Amino acid sequence: MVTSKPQEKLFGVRVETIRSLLRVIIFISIAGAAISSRLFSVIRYESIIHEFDPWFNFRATKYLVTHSFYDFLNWFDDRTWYPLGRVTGGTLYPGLMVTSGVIWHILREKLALPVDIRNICVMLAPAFSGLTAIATYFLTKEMKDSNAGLLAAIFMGIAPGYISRSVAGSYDNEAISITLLMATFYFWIKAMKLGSIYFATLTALFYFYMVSAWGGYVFITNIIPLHVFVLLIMGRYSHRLYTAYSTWYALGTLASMQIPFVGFLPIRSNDHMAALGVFGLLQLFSFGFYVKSKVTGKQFRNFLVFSSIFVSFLGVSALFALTALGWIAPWTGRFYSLWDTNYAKIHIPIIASVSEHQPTAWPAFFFDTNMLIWLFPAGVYLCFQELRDEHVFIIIYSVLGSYFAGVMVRLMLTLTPIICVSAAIALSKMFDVYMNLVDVLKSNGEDNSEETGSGKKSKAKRPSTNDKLFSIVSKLAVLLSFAFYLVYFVLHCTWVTSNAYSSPSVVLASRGPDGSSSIIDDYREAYYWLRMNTPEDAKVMAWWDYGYQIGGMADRTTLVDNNTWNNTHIATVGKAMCSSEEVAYDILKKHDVDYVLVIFGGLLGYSGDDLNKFLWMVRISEGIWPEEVHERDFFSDKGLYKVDGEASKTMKDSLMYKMSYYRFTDLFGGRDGIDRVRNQAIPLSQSPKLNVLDEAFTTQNWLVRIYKVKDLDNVGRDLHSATKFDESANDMKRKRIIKKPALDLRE
Amino acid sequence: MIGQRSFIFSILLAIVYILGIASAESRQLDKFQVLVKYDAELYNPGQASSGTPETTNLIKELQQRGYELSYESYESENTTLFLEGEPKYDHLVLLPSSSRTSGSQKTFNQRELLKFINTNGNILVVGDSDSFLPDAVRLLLNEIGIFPSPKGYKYVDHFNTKKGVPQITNSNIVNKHVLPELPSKGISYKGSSALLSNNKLAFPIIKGTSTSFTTNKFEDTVTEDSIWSYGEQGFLAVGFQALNNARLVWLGSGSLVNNEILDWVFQAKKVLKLQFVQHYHNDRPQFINPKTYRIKDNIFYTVGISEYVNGRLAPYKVDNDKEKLQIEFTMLDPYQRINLKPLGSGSSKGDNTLDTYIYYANFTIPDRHGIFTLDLDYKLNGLGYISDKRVVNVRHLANDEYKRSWEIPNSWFYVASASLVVVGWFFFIVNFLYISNTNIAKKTV
Repeated sequence: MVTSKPQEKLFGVRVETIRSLLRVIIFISIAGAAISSRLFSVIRYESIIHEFDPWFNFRATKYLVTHSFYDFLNWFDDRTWYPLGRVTGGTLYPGLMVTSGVIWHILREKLALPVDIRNICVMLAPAFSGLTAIATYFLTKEMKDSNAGLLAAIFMGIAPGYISRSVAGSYDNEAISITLLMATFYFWIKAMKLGSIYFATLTALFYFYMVSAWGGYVFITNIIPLHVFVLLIMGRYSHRLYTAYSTWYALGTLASMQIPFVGFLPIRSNDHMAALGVFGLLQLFSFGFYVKSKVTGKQFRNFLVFSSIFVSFLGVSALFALTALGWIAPWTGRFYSLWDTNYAKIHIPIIASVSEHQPTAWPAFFFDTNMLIWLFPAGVYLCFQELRDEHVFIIIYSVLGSYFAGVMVRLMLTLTPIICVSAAIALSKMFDVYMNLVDVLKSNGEDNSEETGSGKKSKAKRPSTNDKLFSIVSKLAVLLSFAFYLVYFVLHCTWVTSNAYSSPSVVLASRGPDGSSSIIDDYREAYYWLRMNTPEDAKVMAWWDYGYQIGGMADRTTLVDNNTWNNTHIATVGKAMCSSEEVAYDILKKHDVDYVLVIFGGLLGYSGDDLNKFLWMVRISEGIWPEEVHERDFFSDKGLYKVDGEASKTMKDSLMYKMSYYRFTDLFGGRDGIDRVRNQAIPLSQSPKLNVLDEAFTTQNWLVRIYKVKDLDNVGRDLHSATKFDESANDMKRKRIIKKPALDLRE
Repeated sequence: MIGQRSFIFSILLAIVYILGIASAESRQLDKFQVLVKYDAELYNPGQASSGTPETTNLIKELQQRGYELSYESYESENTTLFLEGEPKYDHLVLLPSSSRTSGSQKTFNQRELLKFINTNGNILVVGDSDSFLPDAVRLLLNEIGIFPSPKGYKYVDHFNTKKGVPQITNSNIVNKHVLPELPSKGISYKGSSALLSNNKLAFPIIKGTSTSFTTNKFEDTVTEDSIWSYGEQGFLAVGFQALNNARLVWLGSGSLVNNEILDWVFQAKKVLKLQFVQHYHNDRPQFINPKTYRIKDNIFYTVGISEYVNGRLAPYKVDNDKEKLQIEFTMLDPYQRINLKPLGSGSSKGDNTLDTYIYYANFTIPDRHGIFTLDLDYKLNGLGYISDKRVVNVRHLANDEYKRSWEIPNSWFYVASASLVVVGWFFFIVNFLYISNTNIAKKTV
């Protein structure tokens, strides 16, 4: 690479100018690549919000732009968690909604572009991915140089690990949080390097933005103190570090407490104690250095020993005491499950039931980052070689990120940036070495060009023509192979993005046997039916996975949703689903449920249906009602999860089973029904009967089935005997003898 | 010319048509349509004196009330209760039958009878110990929890008799809403009894005495099998009111027919109407029935309840202590359950006619946000049901509704210390830079 000299010119333009111009062009191309690769879903399907959580964010954003900001902040949501309601304004991270709200207002009022809020929400994640690339560039530039930065930027732009959460329509907190994560880290490195209050304040500012946007801010809250802590242990205390950290911690903590959902957590929750502890430690260090400058070495050693023992004892005991007194919240379950992957499975079924909380399978690393995953350790190794303060940060981030990504699938997302950065460092180092053809060529012509390079090994001895050829060939071989890898990387990223991460999961695509593709739009069909055919205040009970979608698309009140804040309420719904009709009816009536919605994939072969999630419902409700619900009862005699003729009685009596297979065998014209997900036959003779529910709607592919809860019987019977009565009227059997009924005493 | 004539003709036709509808409607509105099902062997509506004295008495009573009576025999093959899905009759009187079967199985069966109740029709069933109830009627009664004794079973009480006939007195009356008292001090009762399930909507009107039983063996030793009911578990008259307020009465004998019971079953008394429900914040009475309250708000809740008296609405006063109106403020479980207090008679229409009695409750919302229901559920046996559910949101305090820090004495200490730090910091800087150590300032410059 051409080393910059002030006077160097190319075609009469200063090289430096050309460089910036090139850089801008590269940035624009990177942003273009990042954004366009995220548009597959819009092109394939339409401008639609994806999956589950984004539907809530979208609904909240709509609320924000139709109400005032303060209304949003104080929003009491009566459409979810009926009848508990949810203090939505105080229990969400408003950053995402406010961001899109601000963009919407600016476009509308300043630029006179009345864009639909939905399109802003759909396009927000791709737009921010461009910014992420830029932030990554700056971060990597701090680590090595701008060449590594550009590589990191393009990696970040198209790495599937990040795209998985930021395709168009994936309107989730993570969409903007990764941008903020990288920006915060960049400013932190800058602040720490320079000891600058200005950059530390910017760190705090972006940290605040991050806190407002994603619960993952705790990652920053812990990794920066850890960085500082490691530096302190390495004996690298400096006033720059002190200034940067103290400024960030004080401002950042105060700012983060302004988010209602966070509130007093930064001073009460264990997750935040590390930051506080390091803050205290820094003060002690600072004080120690002050004392050291005033007293002799021996005195200082004594002082150090006593004070450190005293202080650590005090700190640890205070932590224990405060936790025991309940002043500091104990670690949350999600935290425990980070360390012990079995913890959730045993103690908190609701956390374990979420698929993205499962441990990562190893191919996922390769799938999500391709060649970067093996460049990643090389980059970390290079950081070890140089080991400046900022490299320590990369090392810590890599270690923590790798561990967390191994524990939970979703945390792949936080690992991806550091993989990109490390890989870029490694690759750019390699390019530095192998792309430097200058001296080879130069030494070919004249031998007096010693000053150009900065001590390259090849320059030490004068190579013969043979050696030169050899070196050129080897360099070219390496370069070409890496060029191939890079091209392959781009192909892989595009392929993964297009095939794995661009499905909205609200609309499904399937291929027929002849290769023709068809769209399965049952979800929206069902939600639209609810929206158009049920009273506006109807309450819909469904498993919590579909809560946000029902709220967003059908605009009906739900009992539980993906914001799983109340385990008991979820367990109640689970109990209603897994109990017999009589028990379930009481629960339904108590909660004023009008409609029950189930997802049934048996006809289509869609494996993510409610019957496959059913055991989680059982487990979660068993956690609350261990006397009434037993997981064992739902297995067949042989201990298998069966839905066919061998299914246990409890299973067949459960509301979920009945709702799934009600009238299912009718489709098979007098033969047993075949469930294509579980590959089991539903016997015609055991086709379930429903007493407390009426079938209201079933979608085209039977993916969504909606049932209406019957009213109380007008003449005071239970609904079971009411159905019996209606049926008995058809076959008029005349009883000759009137028998005395066996009745309880009338009260 | 022809066109004009046909035009006039069509107008005339239209007028006739409208009049026709109007007259048909007025006939409908004027009189209640009553269908009397009878057995030709026991009663002939053409001859007034053909039936038992009780039956003729009942028919006379019905005629005096101005009902439009239709008669159909149980054997009749073309009995229909519905026309185009709408009930043809308001009330149904089912007299005893000599046969268990009835004609027109398709249109007169237990299912049709239940449908009749579900479409607000009222039914009076008169039983008898010497005759049958047609299967359709019996199965309907069984379905709602009334099990009359079959033909041949008689109510016996050896301890309260007059000339060998069991006597019942006012002390046998269970439900005073339906039957405040017997017409005479005691009446001789010759009839059947019924068992009653624990269906909450069915309730006894007259029970047997504690020494009574119902049996079909009068000469032999009485056995378990020959007894239908014992003592106070045998009921002589049973009332039933469905959730839609349709009423049914089963009487063990025609001798129990009396005005009070007829009034009740044909919706002439104890029919309540909820005139209005209002709730509002104590301080903001101008905003009636708001959707949202805040925790710890004070709510004023008021209802107006009327009773139909002689076809008019009149104030209904809940005077019995046991029968207090209650309002529940519920979210899954009741957080508040409050007796409504009487406020006085009022008018529901805003004019001077006092047609409703107003009750109120004044209470504080609990310190719990959520979606609450103001649940008025007044279902007493014998009275028309009143139920009303109003869903209101109870929201949490908004960000600007908390007390400011200076209003809380506990915070003064912290506010003071915080401001002290600020002031102290300022003085420290001034001192550090300009007063105490001038050397440093010089050095840095």
